[in-house]
Amino acid sequence: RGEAFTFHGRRPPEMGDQGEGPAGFARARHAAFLELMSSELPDGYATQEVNHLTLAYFAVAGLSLLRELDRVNKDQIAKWVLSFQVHPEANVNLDNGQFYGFCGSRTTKFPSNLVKDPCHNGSHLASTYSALATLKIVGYDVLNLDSKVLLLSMKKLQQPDGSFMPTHIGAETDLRFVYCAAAICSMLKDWSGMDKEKAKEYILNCQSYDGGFGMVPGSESHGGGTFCAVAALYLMGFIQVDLASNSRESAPIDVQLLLEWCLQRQAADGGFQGRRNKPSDTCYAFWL
Amino acid sequence: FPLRHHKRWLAEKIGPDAANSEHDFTRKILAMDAKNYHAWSHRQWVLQALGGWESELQYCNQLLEEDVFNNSAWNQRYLVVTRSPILGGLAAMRDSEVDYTVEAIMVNPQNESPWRYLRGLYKDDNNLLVADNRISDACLKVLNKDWTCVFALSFLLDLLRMGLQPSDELKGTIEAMENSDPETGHADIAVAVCSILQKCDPLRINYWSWYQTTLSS
Repeated sequence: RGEAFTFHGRRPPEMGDQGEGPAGFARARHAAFLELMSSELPDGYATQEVNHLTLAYFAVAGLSLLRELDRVNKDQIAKWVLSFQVHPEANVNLDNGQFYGFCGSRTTKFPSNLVKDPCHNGSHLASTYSALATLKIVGYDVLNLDSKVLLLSMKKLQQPDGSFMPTHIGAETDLRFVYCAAAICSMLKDWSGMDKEKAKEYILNCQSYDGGFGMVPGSESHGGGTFCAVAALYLMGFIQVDLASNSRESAPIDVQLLLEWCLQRQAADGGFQGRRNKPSDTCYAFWL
Repeated sequence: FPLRHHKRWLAEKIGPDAANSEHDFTRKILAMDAKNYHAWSHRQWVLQALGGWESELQYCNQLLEEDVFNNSAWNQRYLVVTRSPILGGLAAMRDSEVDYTVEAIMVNPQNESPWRYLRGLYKDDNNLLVADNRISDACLKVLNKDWTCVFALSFLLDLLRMGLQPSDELKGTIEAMENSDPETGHADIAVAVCSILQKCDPLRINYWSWYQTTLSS
């Protein structure tokens, strides 16, 4: 287990653990680990079952980055992912406020015995994002999906302040779900699923006095929040690549401050911290 | 996670009386984990939805006394100073906050938090920032004690880029830094600071060298 990159891992293994120094990359073992995770998760992950689709996305994306996707059966994965799409029942009123996307796992597909829930729908923005991303990676053309209802109903999750609720049941809104929504529209090449201007407004309100972005307006700048903010703005077309070098003045965000905030997140040990004066953590090497 | 949402729904129904118990709740969590992100966002939500601002600045003071490196507490301070309905807003608070922050910098110039907070106090108002002598004086004071302090150097660089006219004392200090490295010798003081930063902050050497190229344009 020590060989694998875990997403919330802390320090890299000590030199000599597997015969590789810090400069070594145990590529074959990472690929083997991810292949295993693609077929079966260890029982320690049982409490994360509702996020099964997201975990699958991590495993499949990892294999893809390592150019080892041939280790898995892509068609089987596509079929599995598609089984989580929630379709409205015939004759149902589509203005019922529900989001018809993807639910996260097998258990969320089915209603609980304990709750009287005639129209059970566990659709979640993060699951929908993970589903689409996974489908794309394994080569499924997401434009083949029946996405009209998905997008129309997704728009209902957007709040007056531009943020997104992750489900129609009601939960906290923050930058993560704005990013999910933007990524979903981007992958489906259809922006009818969100009001981009309102979303941009919310994102800008999340930029902190120090240039980074908090998860909600007023919150401390955070590596994950900053990734979601910048990625969403880029996907929506409000910022372009090479922002720091070109047309800095006309950018909707304070680029100079953002750039320095990001750079200052690299700690003396070489790793990245998610917030100022906190220890470095491997996941922020991705987000930053 | 959904439990917090339910708590909010209840608090909204119960009203401002809930503010005190919600603040007690987050205070308990923060006493164990002073940077807990969820606790801080809940606390901010309660302040803005239900109130309880009266003792919040004092709470920030207390947390910063315990750990001046606590960036969450600096961030909370910014919220209080800019949003508290009883303090009068940023313009009214700025003066005392500058003094507070400069003092925190002097206690430990290697702490990035107060430097960024100081900059934040003058957000969107570079002219006022440049005009406040306390700022450039603070940079100078720190550099006279430790000429390698990256935060002081980069703040100075920003001030120069915004139009600060360096005093003779400042020019002298920079020259003295450069003399310790005979290779350098720049007519332009901002370029000089950039080249010093490349030496003092090698992790970000590429950034400072790129910054230097933007200075000539």
